[in-house]
Amino acid sequence: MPELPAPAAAPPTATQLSEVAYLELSFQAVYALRQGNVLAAEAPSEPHELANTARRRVAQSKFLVSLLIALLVGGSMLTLTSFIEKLFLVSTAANPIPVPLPLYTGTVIAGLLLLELSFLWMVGLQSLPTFLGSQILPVLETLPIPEKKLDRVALLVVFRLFDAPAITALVLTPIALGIALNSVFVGLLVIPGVVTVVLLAMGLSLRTGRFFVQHVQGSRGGLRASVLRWMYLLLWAVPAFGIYGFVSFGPQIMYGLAYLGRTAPSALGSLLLVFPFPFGLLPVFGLTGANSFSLLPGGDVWTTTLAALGYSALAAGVAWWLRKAPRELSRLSPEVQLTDQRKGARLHPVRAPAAILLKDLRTASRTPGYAFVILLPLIDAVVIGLSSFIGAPAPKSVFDLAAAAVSTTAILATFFGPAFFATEVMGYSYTRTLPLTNRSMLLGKSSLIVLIYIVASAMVVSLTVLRILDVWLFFAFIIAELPGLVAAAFLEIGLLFRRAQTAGVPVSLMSSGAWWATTVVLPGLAIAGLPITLFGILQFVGVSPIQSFVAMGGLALAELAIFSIFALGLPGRGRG
Amino acid sequence: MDPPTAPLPLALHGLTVRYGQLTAVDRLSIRVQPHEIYGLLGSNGAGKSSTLKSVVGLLTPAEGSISVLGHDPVKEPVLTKQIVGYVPESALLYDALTPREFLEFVASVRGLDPGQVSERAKSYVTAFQIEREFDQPLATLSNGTRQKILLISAFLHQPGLLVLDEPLNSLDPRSVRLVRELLTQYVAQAPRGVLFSTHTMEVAERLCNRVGILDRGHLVGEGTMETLRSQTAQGNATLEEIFLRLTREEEGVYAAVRALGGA
Repeated sequence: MPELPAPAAAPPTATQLSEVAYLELSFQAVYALRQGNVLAAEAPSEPHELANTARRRVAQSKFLVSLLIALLVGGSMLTLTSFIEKLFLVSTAANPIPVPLPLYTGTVIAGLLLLELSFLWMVGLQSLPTFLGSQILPVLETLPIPEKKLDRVALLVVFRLFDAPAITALVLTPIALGIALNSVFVGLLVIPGVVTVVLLAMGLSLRTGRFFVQHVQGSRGGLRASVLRWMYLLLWAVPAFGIYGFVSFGPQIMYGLAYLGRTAPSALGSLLLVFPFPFGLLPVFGLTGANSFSLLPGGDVWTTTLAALGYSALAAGVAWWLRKAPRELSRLSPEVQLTDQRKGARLHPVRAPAAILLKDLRTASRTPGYAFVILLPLIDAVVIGLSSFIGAPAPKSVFDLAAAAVSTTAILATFFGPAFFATEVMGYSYTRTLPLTNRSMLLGKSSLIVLIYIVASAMVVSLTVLRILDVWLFFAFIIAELPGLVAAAFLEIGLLFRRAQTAGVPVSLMSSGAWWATTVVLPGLAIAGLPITLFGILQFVGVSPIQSFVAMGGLALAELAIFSIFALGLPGRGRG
Repeated sequence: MDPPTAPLPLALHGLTVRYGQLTAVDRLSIRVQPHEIYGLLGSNGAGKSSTLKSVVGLLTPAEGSISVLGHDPVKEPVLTKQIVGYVPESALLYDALTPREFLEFVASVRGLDPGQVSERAKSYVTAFQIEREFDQPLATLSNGTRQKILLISAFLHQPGLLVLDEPLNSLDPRSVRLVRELLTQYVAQAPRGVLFSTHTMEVAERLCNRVGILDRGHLVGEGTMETLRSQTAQGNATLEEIFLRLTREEEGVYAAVRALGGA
């Protein structure tokens, strides 16, 4: 039997293999060639230059996400200063029950942990389709690499998706809370909570990714299946809105807990065992000792510690599961739903801008990342609308809350403008061969932003209509803001087109760069926010609502006129 | 009967495509006549796909001119795309859409009449036997089925020029035969043209009225089988033999086999 020749060099380690795989993942995330994009003629011709550009742009995006996590941590530090604390620790006319200090501190820390969990989960949700679409692991599967090493490579690649934001959370959170509460011991007690958060976020990302591949990606066409898909997407997007709920309703949650402590201490005690409260209360215990629990109705130091240990054990279980989960996920195929029911081949063409809108909605219904950016403004509208319906006593307050809901929706829809372009990356090279004008594209993408605003506003109206006596005021607000929103959409999408043409790259790729997106979003937010700001200022100085609406609407219409000229006069008739 | 002054389906004149310092297509001039299937042959990297991508507006040529039924894809991109049907080399589509949703999108962008396009879609879907897959996401379909969807999409508006980049890749034998028959019928019915790239010589020999052979971006041979045989002075040669002779690869192949045999 002939002897196998000795290998010329030692086989690459899992870390080395994961470096190559991660570079390919970055390359696909930036250039999306496997999804049908074409390289711009002006792109660097040297492979290492392309690779360096991909590395740099992915690093920039990670830096921005890490910066946002740092901002969350910074915000939490601020809320732990005595100046803010004092606001909650005393009773007021609106909130007669003051919040006990341990409950306040514990809830702030728990809130921060929940925000970090939601944020990291969102990062995973947005990155996993690229991980799956890049097909890097199936390539490695064909090579003679041991199973265990393949598992490690897959895990390392997935960890690289989270590394900078996760490390930011792991390092910054204990340090910041230690400084804010002036205790190294408190900082140390935060660490188990942050580690648990990072592991759970990775686990949740992979688990929801698995659900996506199995139940959403292969779902058939048709209205019923579409509704079901949106419900699936809604279900798994809802926990991610923790980020939003906690930021929007932090004070209400705080007062709600204090109220519960006064009226039903045992219920509060049970609630405080729910993740991540135990990890929020442990540092409080470290700060003030067991005495702090005497101020915490229903709270108990031993059950809190036991609960924290339980969640830590769960995180350890997730870590064990994570050893093999990424590779298993990369090998999954969508579940095909075959049926003998044949509906014929009737097609229903629509006008080109409507076709773009429909395509985006259909794509979003099978792509969690895009579904999320559409659902976020809608859920925000429902949540704020509900709170106005349930909590606000006077019609004036209801109007303020409802107007806030509509304003937030307008801002959120504008914020995600460039993200709607990311859907174009898929199948882009083919779409570029279709007779699609820039104007159709502009109108199609803008109409998605407007549709989100209108649907969200309708939701708020339907939730608050019984509480607002002068409904027309509310309608006037919605209508007055609409031209400003369209102007913001035109500006954002017009900027994307122009920059794509100047830089000589496909327009779809502009949205994959976080810097590009930021520089496009900021002016868009300013344009959408200007009429709302004007309305607020006029109300503040005592101008009548009618005059305020006229001024707001006038400004919004002026914006629309200016940015219509800018956007509809786009250079070139083909797609950029 | 064709109008006497009907423009050519395709005329390339001095087409040059560059990627940085690499010249992929060098001063290529070809014409696709009405009722003609023109096969563009070449080894990997010969410049076939770059030529086709320039015709459909995916690449902007560095030099030269392109005329599609009298229109310039660089100056009139939307108008040109309206009269061209394209099947790309890889079936990269919107994976999240079903074939029905994808074809609806294409029909919408092309502004096609609902009744007419539905009739056509029905005929092609039946012909390609993909009724069962018509409402399944493209992500779950085989490469062959995705290729069929792309072919249907290219035929849907009955364009004056079909640009097909390796269109028979991944297709089963029945579908290969079907596409061959469809293309023959397609150009016979009206003064349309087909530009067809392949490196499968047998297909080109059977299907194409004329072929052009590309080698490293240069056109090294063009004509009917008879013309090419006479150019290479090979009376009974197959297209493969002519191709290897014109691209000076014949000896290279034998040398490579000898080298591998000794490896």
